[in-house]
Amino acid sequence: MLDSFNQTQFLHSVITIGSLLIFAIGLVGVLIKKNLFKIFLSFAIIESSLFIYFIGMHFEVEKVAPMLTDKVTKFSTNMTDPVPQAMILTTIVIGIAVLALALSFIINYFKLTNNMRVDDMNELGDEK
Amino acid sequence: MSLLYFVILPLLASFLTPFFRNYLRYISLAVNLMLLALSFSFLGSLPIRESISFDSPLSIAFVLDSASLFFIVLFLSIMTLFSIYAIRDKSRKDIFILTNMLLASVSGLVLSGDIFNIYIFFEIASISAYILTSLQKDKEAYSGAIRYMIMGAVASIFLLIGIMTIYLNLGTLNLVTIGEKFSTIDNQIKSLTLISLFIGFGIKAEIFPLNFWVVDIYQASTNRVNALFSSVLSKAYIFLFFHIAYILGVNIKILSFLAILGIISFGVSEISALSSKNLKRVFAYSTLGQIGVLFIALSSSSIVATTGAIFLIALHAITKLMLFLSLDILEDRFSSVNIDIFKKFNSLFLISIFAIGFLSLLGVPPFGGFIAKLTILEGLITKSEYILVGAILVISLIEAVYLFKLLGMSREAGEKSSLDIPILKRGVLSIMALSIIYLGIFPELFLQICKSVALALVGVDNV
Repeated sequence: MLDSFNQTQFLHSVITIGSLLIFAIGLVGVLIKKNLFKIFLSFAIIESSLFIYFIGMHFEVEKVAPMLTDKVTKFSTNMTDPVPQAMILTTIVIGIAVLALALSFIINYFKLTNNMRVDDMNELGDEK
Repeated sequence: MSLLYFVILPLLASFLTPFFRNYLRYISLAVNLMLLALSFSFLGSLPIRESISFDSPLSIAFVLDSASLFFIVLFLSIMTLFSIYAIRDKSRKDIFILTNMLLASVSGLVLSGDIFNIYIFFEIASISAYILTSLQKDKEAYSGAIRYMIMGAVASIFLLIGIMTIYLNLGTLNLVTIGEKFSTIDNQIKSLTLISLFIGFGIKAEIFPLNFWVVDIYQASTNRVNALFSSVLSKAYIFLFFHIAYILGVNIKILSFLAILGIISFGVSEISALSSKNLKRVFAYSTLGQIGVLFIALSSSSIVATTGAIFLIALHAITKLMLFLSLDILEDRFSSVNIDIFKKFNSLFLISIFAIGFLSLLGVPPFGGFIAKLTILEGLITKSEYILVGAILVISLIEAVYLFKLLGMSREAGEKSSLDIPILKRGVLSIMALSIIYLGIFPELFLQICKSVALALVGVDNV
């Protein structure tokens, strides 16, 4: 009976629904949260939902991970597509760098103004 | 010689900073000049396709055609002038780490023949732009940088969605293959992809209605950084926007929609500039207005108007670099960017620089802006777009109001103080002013170059 869960089709639909839910959580966070830290965290959540969806859509039950070793030196047809994995690895690294930079900006901004709410950021404008 | 040098050398210069912190500015200048020489050596052998391959599906594709070569030469010349301008200031040398990163990423953006590499260079450019915005380290700078990061995060998420839908449906990231296969996708998925890419690139190309945040960023950054944002970063993204649009083969409806956005962008920004009291904001609005004109011209699918747009891109890059660097001299002296500082200085040199810049922005002969606007209007008239022609002329009048107001203020009587401008800065500003006048009087050769760039950008079958 458990075999029916181990089908590519079924897993793909689970991943689609799951990543949509995570995307929704992140979107709600971006739209209703006013704390700068929580806003950037929500962006990270949205990004991770995209990663899960993209990797998950290229997952197939019979295929193995696309890793090259000393014995396996070529990408072959029984491996999943390596391009999405390479893409997502790169994107995760970029995402971490951007998030860290954002947090450092928020910390510095908080030290100067004692404010972390996005709607109280009124330093810029024509009257200033 | 490999195309990779355009990306590797500036990155290397910025990452090796800890070893030669005090010589970084000389090294950046040397790198800029070296790459400029390298880019001219490719002139005879266009187009070049280069693929740096690790294993069959994983590779980096770079394409150099006359369009990307033109932009690379433009960016390198701007960076060279900028480095010469800033080379004597010992206190602000850290900026070169980031300008080198910016140079590497914009070169990558225009060279990439692969949409995922475009995403990576997009992010590198964004990261260096965020840090450049925060360079002053006061609360305005951090506030601007955080706003910039929020908009950047939205842009990169939409861009990622666009790239993912393309890969899921076409199984390729190569721009040429995407261009061949894109029309075979289902219509709904096609519009999802186009909307995602439009929002992703549109935020960065600063087109209405996605440009409401730009002016705040310009206000938060220093004038030198603004000079680079206005003349390098926004130009790279406009090139990219239309490069991708023409590769995906967008139809006439979308192009006319872009032209309408361009006209709104032009109108709204010039009207907002009228009431602004902060010079950084005035110049930023003026940049947004020129981007509107570029959108009108580039989406007209007329080769003459596109030629004019390419001319305007180069000319506006030089003009805005000149204006922001002159503003930098004024801000150093008066530590203010209120428009009142135009009443306070007494320097014929700087007033003539501002006058040349403003008149060229307006399109008054004999300056280069006249030729650019004339060519754009000529192209629009041959396509019978009389409404767009009328709108550009009317909005240019609004532009004239605030630019002449500023020039008039500099002639008002009152307490004036003289300015001491170092000879190096005078030289750089004069070179830019002279090139604007030169392009206005002898435009033929440059127009020919622009025409071949326009043909490469639009693609011969799209004319």
